[in-house]
Amino acid sequence: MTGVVHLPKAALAALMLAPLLAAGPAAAQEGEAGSPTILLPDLPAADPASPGTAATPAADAADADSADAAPTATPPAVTPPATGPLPGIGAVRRDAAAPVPAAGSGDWRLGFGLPPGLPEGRVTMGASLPQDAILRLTGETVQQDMTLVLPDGAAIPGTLDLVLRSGINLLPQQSRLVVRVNDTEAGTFPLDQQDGWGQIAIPGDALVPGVNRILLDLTQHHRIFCGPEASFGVWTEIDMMRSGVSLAAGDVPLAADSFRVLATNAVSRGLPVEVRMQPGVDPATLGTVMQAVRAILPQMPEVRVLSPYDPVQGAGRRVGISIEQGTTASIRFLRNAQGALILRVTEGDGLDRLLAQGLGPEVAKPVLPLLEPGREVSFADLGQPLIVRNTRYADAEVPFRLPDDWMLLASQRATLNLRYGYGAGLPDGSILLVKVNGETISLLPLDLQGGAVLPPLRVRFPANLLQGGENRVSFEMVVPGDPPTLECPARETDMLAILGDSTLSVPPSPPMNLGDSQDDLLSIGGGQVGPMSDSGTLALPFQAQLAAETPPPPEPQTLVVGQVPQDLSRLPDRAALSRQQILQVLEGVIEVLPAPAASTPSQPATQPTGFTLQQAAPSGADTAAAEAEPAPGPRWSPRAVVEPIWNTVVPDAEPLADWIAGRSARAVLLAPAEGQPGQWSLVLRSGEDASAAALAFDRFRHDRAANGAEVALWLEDGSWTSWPPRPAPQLQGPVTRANLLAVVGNFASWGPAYYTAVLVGLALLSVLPAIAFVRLTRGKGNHG
Amino acid sequence: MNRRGMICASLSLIPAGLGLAPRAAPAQTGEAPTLAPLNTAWQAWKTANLTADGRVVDAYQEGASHSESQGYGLYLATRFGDGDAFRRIYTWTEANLAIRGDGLLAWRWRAEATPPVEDLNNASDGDLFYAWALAAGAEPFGLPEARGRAAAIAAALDEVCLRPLPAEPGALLMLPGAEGFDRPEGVIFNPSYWMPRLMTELGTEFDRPRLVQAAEAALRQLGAFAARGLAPDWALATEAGWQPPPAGFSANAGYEAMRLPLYLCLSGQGGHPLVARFAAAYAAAMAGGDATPTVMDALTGAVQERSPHSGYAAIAGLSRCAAPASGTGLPIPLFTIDQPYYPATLHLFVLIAQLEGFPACVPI
Repeated sequence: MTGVVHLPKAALAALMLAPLLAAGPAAAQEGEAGSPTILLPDLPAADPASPGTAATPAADAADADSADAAPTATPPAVTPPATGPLPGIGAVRRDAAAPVPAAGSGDWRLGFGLPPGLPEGRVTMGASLPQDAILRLTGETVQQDMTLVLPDGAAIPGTLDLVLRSGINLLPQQSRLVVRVNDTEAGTFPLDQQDGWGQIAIPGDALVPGVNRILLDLTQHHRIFCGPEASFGVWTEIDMMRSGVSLAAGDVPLAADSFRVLATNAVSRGLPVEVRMQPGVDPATLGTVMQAVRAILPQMPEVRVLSPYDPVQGAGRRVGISIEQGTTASIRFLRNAQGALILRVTEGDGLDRLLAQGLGPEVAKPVLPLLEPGREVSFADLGQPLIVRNTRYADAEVPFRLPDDWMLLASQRATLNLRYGYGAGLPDGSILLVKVNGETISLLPLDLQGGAVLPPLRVRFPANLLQGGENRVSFEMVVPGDPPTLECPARETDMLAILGDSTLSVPPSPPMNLGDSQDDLLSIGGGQVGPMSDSGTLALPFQAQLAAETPPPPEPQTLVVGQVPQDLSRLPDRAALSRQQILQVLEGVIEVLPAPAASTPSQPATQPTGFTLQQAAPSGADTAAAEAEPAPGPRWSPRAVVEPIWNTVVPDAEPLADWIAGRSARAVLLAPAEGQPGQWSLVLRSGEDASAAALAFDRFRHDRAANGAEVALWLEDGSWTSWPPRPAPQLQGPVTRANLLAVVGNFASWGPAYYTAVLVGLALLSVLPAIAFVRLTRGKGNHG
Repeated sequence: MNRRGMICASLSLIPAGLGLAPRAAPAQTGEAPTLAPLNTAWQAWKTANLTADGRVVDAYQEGASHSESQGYGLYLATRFGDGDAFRRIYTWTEANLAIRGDGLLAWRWRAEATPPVEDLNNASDGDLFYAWALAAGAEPFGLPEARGRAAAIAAALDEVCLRPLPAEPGALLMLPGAEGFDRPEGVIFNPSYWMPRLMTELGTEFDRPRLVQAAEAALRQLGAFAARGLAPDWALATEAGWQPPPAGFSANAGYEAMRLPLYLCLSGQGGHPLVARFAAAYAAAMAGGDATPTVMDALTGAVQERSPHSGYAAIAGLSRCAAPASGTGLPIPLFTIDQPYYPATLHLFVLIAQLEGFPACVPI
């Protein structure tokens, strides 16, 4: 049979009968006395012959003869009508378990926004996001700001809904939540939802169109204990997905402003931006879209790229992106059946311009204040006018930034002039730890002379605790219970206050850093990412996640992403790590069959199930690191003597094989291999979530720790570690008389033994002429 | 093309290499799209609804299984080329529902009942999906006996479940079941049991032209319903025409009839006026962003029930897509397993229909 379609004769008969049939029911209707009036809207102009002419595809394809064929079975005799009970199948209800929503159930649910930068995935004192969209407020007193953006022209909702629950340790009688809406108190509510999630309705009288400020002020008392541990035992969680206000569907315009607000809210709650991309869409389109979307978000989101046919995962989202194939670029905002506002993008030329126009202006990203070296800067100038804490365990941070090329590794000192005070009568053992980048620089007692602001306290600390880029001075207060086995007594004064006129002074440094690899990594845009193999989809989350807000430089670096074991053979031969080493780090003990030549007659034909890296012999194809290892055997080798000495003297000379042995990681990042300049490789463990890996990689490359990295491991706890552990400093500017000592000091501090060896070498070299001179002159005298 | 190749040809979406008979050359639309994008959804559906022993569980119906759920499951297993699921569903169904003696399946099985099958009547839509899937899956899944079972069911449907329309004796229609629907006052039909494509293909495959004729008659009668409004869940056919069904049977366009636009789209009948009727009714009822209507007055379209389950919204979206003149703003939703068996199954069917016939209406 060819591709020609034959209509079966029965279908042709239906075609001929169609006009009659279409008229039939209408005629019957007219003839029926009292037949109901048809109130449904008129049909769109339909093909009058549709029922008959639209032959089924199967009928189209069937042989005409077959439709004419006589039935092989004789039509059955007609059975008499049934008079018994009606069949039970007619009474079956298909589905009515879900509560039937009333009219208006399509209202928008607008949630609250949170300030960027809340800790995610862990519990901290104060506000944190231990799970996506769950805001936990921990401690005896907590204040948290939220925002609610109401569209202009929308009816002001009567109430704000807060879905919350509190820990069992809370004493409800003395715990409360005060809510202020735009600085007007909207109500005080007991924190008594301890059996599960509950909802409170907050009067919305003070709400206005536009941005509203919602302040939550919690007082939480432990029912039994008092002390730092009890501080963590009192908490209230708010379900950010279910909290918010309801607005009529028509009140939320399907427009860019709504999208910006909803997307910002979602990202502030730790939720990923979900992109549904139709198979076949050019990955470059994904990068274009995400570049535009990142520009309107205040912080870096996690991006999840899914197919439109993948099931919805987790809680229903309120905002998302859909990218479809096409030839003419377009963007639209619409609402999907799950109630989310969707930015629907169709690919095509000029999409970047369309997105830039359609999404609105870029949002300024929060940037840490810059501390100018050599100048005394107040906490207030660093954005912290006053820090007050009233929990038995409390922490506070003053984050700031130093120039990227700031580096002091020697004994220079920075100075903190601390202005602080603490409450009178704090129990014995109350202390305040002052830290710089996590290192304690001072421990201050809080159980003496309380009740007043103390004179400025000068704390000098090693400047080498600081680094170019992001830094933080932090405070950690611990106030024991008094006694710890009873509930805390009421206090009327603050426990700790750190004033904004505290100052920080950091000495200037020569322009130095640990290399340019961070800049290299940051130059990788979404368009510079590709898969190691043709399997394709692994690279998509990276292409979305790494879409930069600004175009990459003219010669960006590239990144290839792969996964073990399938992509192992595609790793560059000259990579820093051998394939066996990568497998070992990612998958643990591996099974490696030794080369036949390595077998001995005494060994069984079948090999042991596996062995570790240390036992594995390097294969001939594997490389630098493996080759660098000392050869086994008793023979003396100069290298065996020199190498340990060299490793001791030069800080970054620890062999990679030694460094990586025994480590386990979720992904391995490799610097460009010899012969493949500019191409980084990232290998993921089998089954690892590519979206999470993309976000982790994005965060790593923004961290100063990325500088100097030749190999980096994404560890089980989500952090990164890199090799070499102490890369050599690099001078980024001229050596001047003013910075000479600091430059030398940096090199000397980086490798004291190396520095000493160099000095000794220079000293020896300088002695040689003297010795030569003495030998020459003594020789002459003797002769004379 | 021989008859045996009919269903196999329609199954051009089954992955190659399963031993299917040669495919028909695609007529005009080029190579048919693959269902591979839906594999994750299919796995999720199985996890939620299919037990290890092959029973498709309708949790809302107190964990019951029906010939319909087994038929739907087997149909999906066939479409997704899932031999393991096919064998499990087939085995369980044969052991527990194929007990009537005429080849048809008992319509319901309940674990807490003694015996689990209390009513031996069949449901012809379940038989139809089941038989079609058996015919299509027998060869690729290496179960030649399944084809014999399909033939037996097709024969039984032909001989037991077809009745002439009283007002139009030349038109055969498929009864909802073998027993109890042909009453002295008329014949009770359920229009949503008529799946035109499967009836046509099954009838052609097993040389049962009366099934093909019944499919054509069904299309005409659905057109007649469309001329009046929506199709009802149940209706009584009399010599005077269509009348409301007996008490206890829904005369609304509800959970039964909502499948009709879906079946029509799956049958290549997206242009059928009934699809446009449903599309217009959905568009009018959901203009304010309200949840999907699930029960509407069959004549006026007045909404009596709504549901938040996205499977129903998927049908609305597909209808709108097939009849774009009905309005905009009803996209097909993303698949979610957070819904009962029935809407989840319909949702998966909608996505198959969309992939095959409506590529522009990508879910969002």
